[in-house]
Amino acid sequence: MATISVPSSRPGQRAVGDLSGRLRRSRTAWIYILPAGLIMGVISFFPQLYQVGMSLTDYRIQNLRFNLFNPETYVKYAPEFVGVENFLRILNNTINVENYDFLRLLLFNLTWTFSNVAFHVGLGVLIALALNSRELIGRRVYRALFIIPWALPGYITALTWKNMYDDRFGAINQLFGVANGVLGTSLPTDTRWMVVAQPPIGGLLAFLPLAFYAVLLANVWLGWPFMTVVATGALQSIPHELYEAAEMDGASSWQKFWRITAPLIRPAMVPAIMLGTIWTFNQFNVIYFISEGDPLGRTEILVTQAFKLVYEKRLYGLAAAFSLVVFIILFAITLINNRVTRATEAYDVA
Amino acid sequence: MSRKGLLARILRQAGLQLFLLGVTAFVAFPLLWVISMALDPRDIDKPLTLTLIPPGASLDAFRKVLFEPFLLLCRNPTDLSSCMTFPRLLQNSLLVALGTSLVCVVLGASAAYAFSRFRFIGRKAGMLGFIVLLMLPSTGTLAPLYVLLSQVKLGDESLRSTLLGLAIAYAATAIPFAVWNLKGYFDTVPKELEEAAVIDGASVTQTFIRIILPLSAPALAVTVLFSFMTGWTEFILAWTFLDNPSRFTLAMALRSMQGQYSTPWSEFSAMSIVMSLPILLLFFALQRYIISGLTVGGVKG
Amino acid sequence: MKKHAIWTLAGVLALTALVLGACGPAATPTEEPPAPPTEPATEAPATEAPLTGTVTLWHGWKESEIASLNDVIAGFQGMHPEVSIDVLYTPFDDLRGKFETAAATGEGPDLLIGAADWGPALYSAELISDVSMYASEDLLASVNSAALGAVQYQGAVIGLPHTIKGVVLFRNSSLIPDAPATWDDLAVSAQSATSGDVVGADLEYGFFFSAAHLTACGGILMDANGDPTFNNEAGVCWVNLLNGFKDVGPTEYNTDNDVNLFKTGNAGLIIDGSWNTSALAEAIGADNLKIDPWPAYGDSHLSGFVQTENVYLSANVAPENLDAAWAFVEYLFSPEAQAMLADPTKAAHIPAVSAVAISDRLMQETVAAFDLGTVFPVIPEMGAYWGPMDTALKSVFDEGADPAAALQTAFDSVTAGIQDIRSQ
Repeated sequence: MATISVPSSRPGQRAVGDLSGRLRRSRTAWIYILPAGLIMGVISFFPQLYQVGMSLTDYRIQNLRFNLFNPETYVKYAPEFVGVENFLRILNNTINVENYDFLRLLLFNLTWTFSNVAFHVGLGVLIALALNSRELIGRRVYRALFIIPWALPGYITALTWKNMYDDRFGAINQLFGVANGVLGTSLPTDTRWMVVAQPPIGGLLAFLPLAFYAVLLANVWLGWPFMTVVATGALQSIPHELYEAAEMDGASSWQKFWRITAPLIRPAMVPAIMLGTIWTFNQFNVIYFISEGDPLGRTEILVTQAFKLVYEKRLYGLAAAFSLVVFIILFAITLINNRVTRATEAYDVA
Repeated sequence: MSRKGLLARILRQAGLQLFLLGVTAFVAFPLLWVISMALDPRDIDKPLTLTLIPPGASLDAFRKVLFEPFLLLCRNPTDLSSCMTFPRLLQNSLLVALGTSLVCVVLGASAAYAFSRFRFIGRKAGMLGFIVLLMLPSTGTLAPLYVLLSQVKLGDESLRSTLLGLAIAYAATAIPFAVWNLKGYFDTVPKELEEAAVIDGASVTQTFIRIILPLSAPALAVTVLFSFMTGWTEFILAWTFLDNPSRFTLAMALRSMQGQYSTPWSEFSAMSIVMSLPILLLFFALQRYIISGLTVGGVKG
Repeated sequence: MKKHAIWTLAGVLALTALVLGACGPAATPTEEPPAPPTEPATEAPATEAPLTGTVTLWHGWKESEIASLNDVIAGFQGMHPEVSIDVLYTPFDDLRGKFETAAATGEGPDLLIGAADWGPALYSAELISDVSMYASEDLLASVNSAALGAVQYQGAVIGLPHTIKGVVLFRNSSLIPDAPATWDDLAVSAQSATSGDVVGADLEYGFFFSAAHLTACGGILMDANGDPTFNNEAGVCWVNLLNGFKDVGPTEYNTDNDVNLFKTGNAGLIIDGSWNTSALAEAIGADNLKIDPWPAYGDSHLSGFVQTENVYLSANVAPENLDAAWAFVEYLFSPEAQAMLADPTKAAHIPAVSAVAISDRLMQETVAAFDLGTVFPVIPEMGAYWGPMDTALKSVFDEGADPAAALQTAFDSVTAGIQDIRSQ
């Protein structure tokens, strides 16, 4: 599937008078899906439904003792139903959280997502192409090495990068020092990466502090191997004859890439980009542990804000509403992405 | 082979190698930093100079992490033998991670198969449900999961405080992706194979087990990998759910090293490295499969 | 077991009755000896059955502190061999959440050792009990009164402070031989000690470490109700004082760099928490480490927040374990146990109980520093301060904002935040 929309059923199974057949098949399917579905319904769907329920209430610490399974707790601890008020407060910036501005938060989250995915895909495909070169020596070694950023636990890599960005002893600043010594440059060696409020690039990008570029680098380091792996799989199934034929026709490397490679790896890359978008949009570890939303909340993303609402402010209802807002936005992005993909598919030269 | 052609080839190779070595340096830099911290006996926040092998480097941190008991994770603080050691933590981590993988694969594969092959009432709603789950952050699901798993009693304790309960909680968050990925992959397996088997008299289950699953090894490998990762590295749920130190995992031990006021970075780094090795090994072992297992509907499209 | 439960129930009823008996109906006849009115049943004469039960305790203490805890448990079990104590460590950052989740479902430990600012919220959520029902007057009297003030909330005593800790001024006497008596002395000593890799002072101006310096300007962060009172000349004076830290040497904002620099022997003066004392002593040698009383500033003096760590009693304690749990708490506050916890080679807790003699020099110096300290507000309103004050300080120091304007912005945010908190 090139998209994640629900596929349509096949014409052959819609034969007239096949209702009993459909019911029979339904039953078989249900027997198959029932145990799995039941367990999943309980452990996956129910907690999320509960979260949706919480988002419509003003759930606070006084309501902690509310227990859905214990009706005795209903009267005393049941949270107050507030409907969409939480959502309105989130959108109107009337929640009492420091440095909070929903539009700026959203803008940053989107910028964060798209710039990361762009780098991930660009770098990932480029490296996949390099690795796919027939004459490359040491391919296996490189492949093994390049998987490491993806394979390492995210918590550990995030803390490592945080450590590296320390203003006095961090590896990055020390690297600048070494570069100054070796190359004679005069780079600053005590940049307070997560604190500097002056945006390095002004104008349209003035809302991006230095910390953004720092966490961008860290997340790019983390995320490109995934794209390389997907691209490699796709590249390996492109028949070499296509390239040979193109070369005989006098095609340049550039043309070979855009006319042959890109369209053929596209069906594989699109769902990967979709996944990457979702994962990056909700990339908690990198933001929370490295920049912590600093400076002054300018690198905060929606999920880290939601987390802080739970663990620092203890406003559970609001945090749940935040999670739903994240979902709605991601869903919208997905729909838009599907439309765009389907629209441009028709123009592919396969 | 003309000399010009040979020169061109050497240049190409050199260019590629230069580029890839640059990428390698980019990838390796943070890793070398962690190793450097792990070898640094001075145990301060960060090493003061950019050297791979710091002055007075020692494997002390590794020795401590691997062989000494974790004094904070003791069933009975006065009895050292009740304290967790690396092998015991490793065992628990393996149990949880493998348990998570098992639950994800079994439940995910059967659900994905049903969604892929059958047309049934509620199919579209179900698919939509999984996509929703994929995108909804799970910040607020800890409390309901806790309460849910506390309702099930195994003997005189609840499911929640067992490793099985923890694996189930992890599976809850990993299943949406598993179903989505597996369904996509199943969709690419030609139906002719099953139809042929049906003609030969095989039942639905038999076609599932004998034909679909073996062909889907790559996607199953990816599912195992991702859910194993979750079970191996997660600690927030673990610390909230588990009460008995003899069930604690490596991720929990790593978290316990982060002090309220200061962290012993040598040991923390050493523990990070040692904890990451099994995952790295798993990734390397399943490398072939990952490449094709993620190509969701790619070329067969 | 059931028999004992009935005993306990009778005992508790008797206590309640005795307390109410001052103005009312006859007490339930029991074998209660003529002890002080709120004495718990476990102090009853030897004819009572031996104390049994299981006491579950959750904490976030580290290895050195656990060594002292083990001593205390051993001492307690010597007296009550039939009581078993179940101790569980949880990383501090996860401890509160774990307790809340467990206690909310009616489970969790009997006793929780946690930060002072958790108390009011936990009490509002009905997860911990009012201990004034169980605590004897003697016990309450033996606790440092300022510390006790911090655990009183809405007319209840929501926990008992077992140790005091706070922000202090550390000095490496091999770099700076004399204690600075005034702020100017400090500046001079720091600057003269700075050379090469060594810095005379690396001062921390993160809000938690610096808010108490408002005292130096004659100001105060909030009034008794929690409403902000820093938006005045004293506040501006305070911000300028903090800004002046830069002239004395490098500064830190909520990082560990100063501690690390100090540990390598390259910093003369730092401001940090008393919980780091043993680590610092180990790093530079206990003889070189000094904790100075706060230097004078104008008419007043610099200061540091002083806060307590509390023992909380869960609201879910099973009746059969209540006696044992409370007996353990009582023992924890006895001079004997407090001395174990004050052991400088182990936990090195500054006791909140007044009667304990302290022999260790560093701990004595800490207590002297605390005398000039400022009590850290633990009321819920404090939660509204962190964010806005952080922003205000950072905007002044990193972005050069005007102190008065920054404080005004913070004042407005704090006020709004307090309204939000109070509207619950």
